Amino acid sequence: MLTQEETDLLCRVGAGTPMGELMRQYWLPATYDWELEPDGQPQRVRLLGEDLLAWRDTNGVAAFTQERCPHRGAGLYFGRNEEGGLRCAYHGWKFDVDGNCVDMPNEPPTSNFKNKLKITSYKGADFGGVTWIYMGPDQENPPGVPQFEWGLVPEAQRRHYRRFIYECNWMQGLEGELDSTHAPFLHSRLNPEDDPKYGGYTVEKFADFKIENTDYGLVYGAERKQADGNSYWRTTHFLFPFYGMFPATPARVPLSIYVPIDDYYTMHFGLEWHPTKELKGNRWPEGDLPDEVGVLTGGAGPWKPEQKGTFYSKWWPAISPETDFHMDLEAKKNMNYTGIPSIRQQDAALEWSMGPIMDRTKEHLGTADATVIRSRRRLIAAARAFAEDGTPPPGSQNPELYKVRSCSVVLSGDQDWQEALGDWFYARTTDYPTAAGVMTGQ
Amino acid sequence: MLTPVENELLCRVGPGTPMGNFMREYWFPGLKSDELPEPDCAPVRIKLLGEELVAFRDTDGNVGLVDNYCPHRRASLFFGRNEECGLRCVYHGWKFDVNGNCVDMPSEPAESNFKDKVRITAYPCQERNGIVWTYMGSREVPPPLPELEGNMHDSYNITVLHRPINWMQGLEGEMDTLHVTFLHLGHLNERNTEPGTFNRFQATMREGRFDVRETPHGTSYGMFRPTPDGQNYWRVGHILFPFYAMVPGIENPLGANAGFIAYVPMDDHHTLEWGVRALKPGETPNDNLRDYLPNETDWYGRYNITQNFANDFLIDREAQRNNESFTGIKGIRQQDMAMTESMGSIYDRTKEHLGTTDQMIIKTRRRFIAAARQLAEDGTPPPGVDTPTAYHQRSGQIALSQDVDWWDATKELRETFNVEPMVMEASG
Repeated sequence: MLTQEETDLLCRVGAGTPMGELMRQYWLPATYDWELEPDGQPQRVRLLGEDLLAWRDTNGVAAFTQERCPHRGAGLYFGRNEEGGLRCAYHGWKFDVDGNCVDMPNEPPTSNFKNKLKITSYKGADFGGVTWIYMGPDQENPPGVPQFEWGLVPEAQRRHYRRFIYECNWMQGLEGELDSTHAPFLHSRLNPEDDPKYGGYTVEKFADFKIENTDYGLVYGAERKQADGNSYWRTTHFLFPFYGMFPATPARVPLSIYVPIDDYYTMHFGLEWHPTKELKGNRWPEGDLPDEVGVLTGGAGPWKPEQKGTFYSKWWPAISPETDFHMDLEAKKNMNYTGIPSIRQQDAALEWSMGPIMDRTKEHLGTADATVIRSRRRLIAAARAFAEDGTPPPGSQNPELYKVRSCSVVLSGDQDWQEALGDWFYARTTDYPTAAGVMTGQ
Repeated sequence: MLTPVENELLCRVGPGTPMGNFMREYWFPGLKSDELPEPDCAPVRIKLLGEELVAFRDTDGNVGLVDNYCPHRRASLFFGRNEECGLRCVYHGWKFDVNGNCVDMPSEPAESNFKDKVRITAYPCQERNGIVWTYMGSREVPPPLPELEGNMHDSYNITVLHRPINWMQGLEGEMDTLHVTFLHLGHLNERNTEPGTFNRFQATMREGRFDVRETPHGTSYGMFRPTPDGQNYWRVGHILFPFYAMVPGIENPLGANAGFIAYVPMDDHHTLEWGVRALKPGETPNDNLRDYLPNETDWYGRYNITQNFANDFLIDREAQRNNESFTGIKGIRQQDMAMTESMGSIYDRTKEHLGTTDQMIIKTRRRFIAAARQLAEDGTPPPGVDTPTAYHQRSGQIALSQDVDWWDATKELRETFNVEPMVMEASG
């Protein structure tokens, strides 16, 4: 349980809020790099409550600038992206990627008004198929982009396979990622004998948790003891400020990202990679609905038709509150736990149903929620420390810390999990752990 | 730049607000006559200055504009029966005439005089050449109608367009004549314009200089650029209280047209933009510049077009890139809509940066704010309310010698006023 003050501190990310200022110390994933073409259509984005346009100039430099022209407040979305800058269609004022006004053709040539004017602009960077934004105060000297392994491997070894907008606060998404005991319920099929296409099935629903603080956030291991004396470990990482890495398999390492659009909307990216092997399947998100009742789609389903006039117009999911998340009552009765035809949308439905910002003064957390409790505490402590004396939040100044992997593995009962898995966790080896001589997959 | 307080004062028009009270002192267009095509036809929902109203045409052909809500139990009179010289609420049968009198109350005992004590808010209406004018103000005896010549000929063209923005945002677009050079004509250059035309001036000299005058009708501007032959090319336009504009247009010579634009607020966030002008001899009415959607009966369901913010006004980025037009958006007005709607429904004037070419906007705002404050403080009658002839003005473009005062030199053309019916073949 949190107080109302703690809840607000944890969830709200607008400019000037403690958590918003913490977030502004990091590079944030903003779009896919291919969404922004040189001299192409600017895209409306909203990040940390700020309305911006994302675009790429003639030289291919990614730019994030304020949505409205500083002259008479018209939207630069309708502007002309040409010859090294974005020109407002209203009176021809033109701005470069750094926010300088480089042309003001409606004013007399003798005027120096142009030189006095600058618009808000934030640095962009391309890494790992994503265009990142740095919204921090020191635009001249931003830290490095987090060196996730998926950004360093060849393109064929990663898949950006999921992306959509959650209609709730970012922390609800992240908490769902870290709450590993919901999976045997929310995501399960009803009948263990049925095909896994309806959902997962776990016999042992209870796990014992070990949680450790790390320089980048948290790692936790969920241990399920087996009859043979070995233990089945599933490890999850939380990386500041909004990354969740649920357990990897020998086939791939996953990552889920929850970028706050504002206090009430969240941009979710899901991706996976492999340190050495090429991955099969679509490189970028695709969305279909299964033809058969009860069967789950691989991703998050299709998107709504482009929602023009709003931010991130192409990424609004069709499986959404207005459709009860496509909940099918026959599927719910006979096939799976919710009747919702996507694992990820099962999460989204539950997280949306908590309200735009979940009221944490009314919750009742148990021992299985230890990771949720711990990650909140760390975020709140880091935001307070930054606000009080400028202590850099974890990982913000050290991009190398983001070379992290998770895993799921069987260890012998007497092994120390962190010691056995450390080389894999921190990318010192590319060999998947087989500590007990047993590999496990999903 | 305005302070937050000034921005609120300038934009908000609901009952009791300073600007709302100011506007209520004037007659203004409430609806088109043809929205009520015949006696006893279906009533229409009308929103004006934040008030929800119902318009109907009674059996004698008179137009009533009354509160949407029946005073009995506040059911909507939109569902009412328009019959035998009155609008009857279908809930309990109460009936009202165009003047707001309750003329029947069949639910009460016959001996009751409750009916004589109940009135519904009803605003006076006058019809003139296709427009139902209304007066929502405080005077017992309303002032005269403004002599806006565009509405004083029986051969006319009227277009109405719903703009989901604050009224002032639309009106400021009309003060801001320099945007024409970019937004509407930015694709012009020396190759695709003829020497000596107004468009050539627009294409070859992008910046402009302004002279702004305070006038009995409001404010007027002349924007000028020197021409190659040593004259000045002038664009002359007016803002007339409380929300009218006369603009120079694209290829209009000064004095050639009698017409006006009105930004009538439905509420703080929605405006009906009227374009009204007298037809020239032989000209026929034309409203096919835009692809209109059929009118619906809801509050914001009238005069919408297919191009809108939710479809990016059907912007064609290829046409923008190829310079077929500066924006890639089809239609002059639709280009304006994209700009003014993209500011948000009430634009935050604390964040703008106005330059020398925005002085018409700056001075007009000051004039409006001062006039609204004066009315609120000591009841000073708003400018123009009692002088209908103050509206005798025309706008347009003209080349003048550089050594004349443009205001004096254009007086005759600007004040052209010809109320004799024009020769016409086609019927309005």
